[in-house]
Amino acid sequence: MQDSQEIRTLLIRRATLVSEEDALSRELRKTQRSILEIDEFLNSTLPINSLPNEILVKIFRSIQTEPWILQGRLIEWSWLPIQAVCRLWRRVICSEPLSWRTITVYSRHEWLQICLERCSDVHADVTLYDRSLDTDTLSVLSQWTSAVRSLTIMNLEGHRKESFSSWLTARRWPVLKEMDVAGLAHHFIDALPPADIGLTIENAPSLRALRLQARAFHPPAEGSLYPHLLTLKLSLCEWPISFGRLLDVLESMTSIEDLWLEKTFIHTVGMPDAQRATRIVTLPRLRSFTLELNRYLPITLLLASLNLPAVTSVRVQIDASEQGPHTIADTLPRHRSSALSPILDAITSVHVSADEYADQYTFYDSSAGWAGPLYVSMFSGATDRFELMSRALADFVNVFSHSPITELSVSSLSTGSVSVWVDVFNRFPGLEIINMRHCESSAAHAFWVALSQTPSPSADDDHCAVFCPRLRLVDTVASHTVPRTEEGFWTMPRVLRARKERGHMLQELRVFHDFSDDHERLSEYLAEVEECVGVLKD
Amino acid sequence: MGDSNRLTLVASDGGKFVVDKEVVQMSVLLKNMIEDLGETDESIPIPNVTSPVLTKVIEFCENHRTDAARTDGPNVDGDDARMRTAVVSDWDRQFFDVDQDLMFEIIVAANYLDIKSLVDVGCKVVADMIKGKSPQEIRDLFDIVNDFSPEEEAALRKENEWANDR
Repeated sequence: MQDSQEIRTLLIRRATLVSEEDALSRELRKTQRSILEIDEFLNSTLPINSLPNEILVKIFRSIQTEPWILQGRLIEWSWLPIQAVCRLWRRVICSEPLSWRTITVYSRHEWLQICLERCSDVHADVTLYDRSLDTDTLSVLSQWTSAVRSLTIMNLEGHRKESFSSWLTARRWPVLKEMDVAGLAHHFIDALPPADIGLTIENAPSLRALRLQARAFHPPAEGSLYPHLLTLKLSLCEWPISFGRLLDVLESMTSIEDLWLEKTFIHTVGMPDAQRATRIVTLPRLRSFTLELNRYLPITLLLASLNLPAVTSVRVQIDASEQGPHTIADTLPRHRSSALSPILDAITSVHVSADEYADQYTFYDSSAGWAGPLYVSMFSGATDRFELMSRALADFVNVFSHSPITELSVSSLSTGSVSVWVDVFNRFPGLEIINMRHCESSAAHAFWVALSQTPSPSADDDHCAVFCPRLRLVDTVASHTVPRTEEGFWTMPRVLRARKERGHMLQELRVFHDFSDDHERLSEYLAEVEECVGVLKD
Repeated sequence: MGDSNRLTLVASDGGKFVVDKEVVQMSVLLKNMIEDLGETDESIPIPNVTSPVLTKVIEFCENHRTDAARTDGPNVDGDDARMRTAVVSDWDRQFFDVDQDLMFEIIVAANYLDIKSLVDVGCKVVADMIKGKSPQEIRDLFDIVNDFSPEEEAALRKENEWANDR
C-alpha cells in the first residue's frame, strides 16, 4: 500500500517536472529565436549587408559564372555555400529566379522540385541524368512542362528509351526550344532497335534545336518539326530512313542553319545505285554544315544533292573504308558540289596538314584557322605513312583545282615528292606565298628541287620561264644540309638566282635554321641568298 | 561665368569637388541631370554620398575617363554578360584595397550614381573575396554571425545532399 502511494507521488512529481521541462524548452526555443533575431538584425547592419539586394545578387551571380573549387572539390552550384552563410543571403538567392534556372539532377527529384519552384516565372534549362529518370522525377517535371526551355537527357540507358519517349510525347512543351538526348556512348552496339524521338510540332511548337547522340533516338518520322528547326545534330545516330526520304526531310528544313551529321548511318533501303544526284535539294539558310566520319552515309551522293547558297562553314571528315573513296577529291562530287562550291570558289589560302601519327591529312582555310569556313580531312588508311604528304598534296591539287589559291602552307613530317610539288606549281600558277616552316628540312629540299625545274611549255600565251611567277614570299626551314652533296647544298640559292635573273625575284625569304652558325660555308651560302632576294629574314 | 567644362559636386557633408564634365558624365544619373540643367554655374548636390566616398568615386572616374564604352549606351547583352567580360585591372584592385566600410560605401554610391563600370568592378572584387570559401570562412571574412535555426540548417543540409547525390 505504502509502495503504491509512493509511486503515485513520484508520478505526480514526474508529470510536474515534464511540464516544467516543456515550459523551459519553449522558453529556450523562444530565447534561441530571440537570439537569432538579434543576430539577423546585427547581420543586417554589417557593411556588406548594407548593399542593396540587387547588388548582392550581382555579386552572387558573378561568382556563379565561374567554377569554384571548395576544399578540393568542384562546386557546381556555387550559390549553395553562399546561401548557407546567413538568412539574408539565403533569402536573396532563393528569391532570385535566374540563380535556379540551370538545373542538373543526378538522382534526386527533390532537387528538381526545389529549383523549379524557385525559378518562379523564369524558364528553366533542365538536365536529367539517367539515374534520376524515375517516376518521381518525371512526375515533378510533368507539372512544369510549360516552364522548361531546354531539356537534356544524359547517359540514357537503352531500356528506358521507350518509356521516356512515351512520357515525353504524351505532354505538351510550349516553350521547349532545345532538346538534347545522349545515350551511353559505350552502348553504341545496343541490342534494342533505334527509337523515334517522336516529337511533333503539336507537342513541341517552339523546338528549334534537336541533338541526338549515342544511339539514344533518331529524328522523328513525322515531319512537322523539320521546317522549324534551326539546328539538327546527330552523333552516333542510327536513322532508319531511305535516301529519298532523307532528301525529303532535308528539303523540308527551310529554316535550318546548323546541320551536323557525325558517325551517323542511315538505312540503305531505297539507296540509288548511281552516285549521281537525281535531284538537288536547297537548304536556303544553312550556314554551318558538318559531316564527320559517316562511313555508312553516301557522302558523295549527299554532297552532290545539296545546294547550300548561304553556307559559311563546312567541315567534312572522311574515314576511308575498304570499299569507299581513298581521297577527298574522290569523295567530293565529280563535277564539283553545289554544297561546297560557294566556299571552294572563294577560298584563296589553304593549309595542308599531314599528320603521320594520326594517319590523317587535313585542308583548311589558313587565313581563318581550323575553325574557319572550310575544314576537310581524311583518315587515309595509308599503307605507307612516309607517303602521306605526297598523297595530301596530290589530293589538294584535285580538290582545289578550280579555286583561286594564292597562298599555300604545309605542315608535315614526311617528304612530299618532287613530282607532286611540280604538279602543285603547274596547277596553281597564281601562288604568291608558300609557307613550309612546319616541315622537315628534307621536305623543303624536295620543294626547292621542284621549283628549280623549268615549267613545261603549254598552249598558254602567258607561259612563263619559272613556276609561279607571282611568288613573292617563301617561309621555309633551311634545306641546304639535305642532301649532303654539292649540288644539294646549292639548290635553293640556285633557284633564287634563276628567278632573279628571269625577273621574278622573291621579295622575301624567311628561313628557319636550326643548324649551328659555325657551319663552314654558311656565310658564303647566306651571302648568295641575300643577293638574290629582296629581304632575307631569319 | 565659370569654366563651362567643369562643374561642382557637393557631398552630403558639404565637401565641394570641382570636376571635369567629361568625368562626371560616367555617372548616368549626373549625365541626365546636366542635360536637364543645361549651361549652369549651379553646384550639384550629391546628398547620399560623403566626401571620402565621393573622393574615391571621382578618382575612379578620372582614371577610367577614356573607357567610354563602359559607361553608358544600351546594355544589349545584359548584366550577366557585362559582368563576365568586366576586367579588373591591377589599378582597380589597388583602388579597392581599402577597409570594408569604405569599399561597400563606394559600391553603394556607384549604384546610386549609376556608374556601371564602378559597380561591375566593385562586385567582381567582392565576388573574388568570396569565391572558393566555405560558409564559415565567408562569415569570418565579413563578421557575419550564423543566424540559422537548427531546422533551417537541416533544410540546407538536405538541399546540399539532393543537389550533389550522384
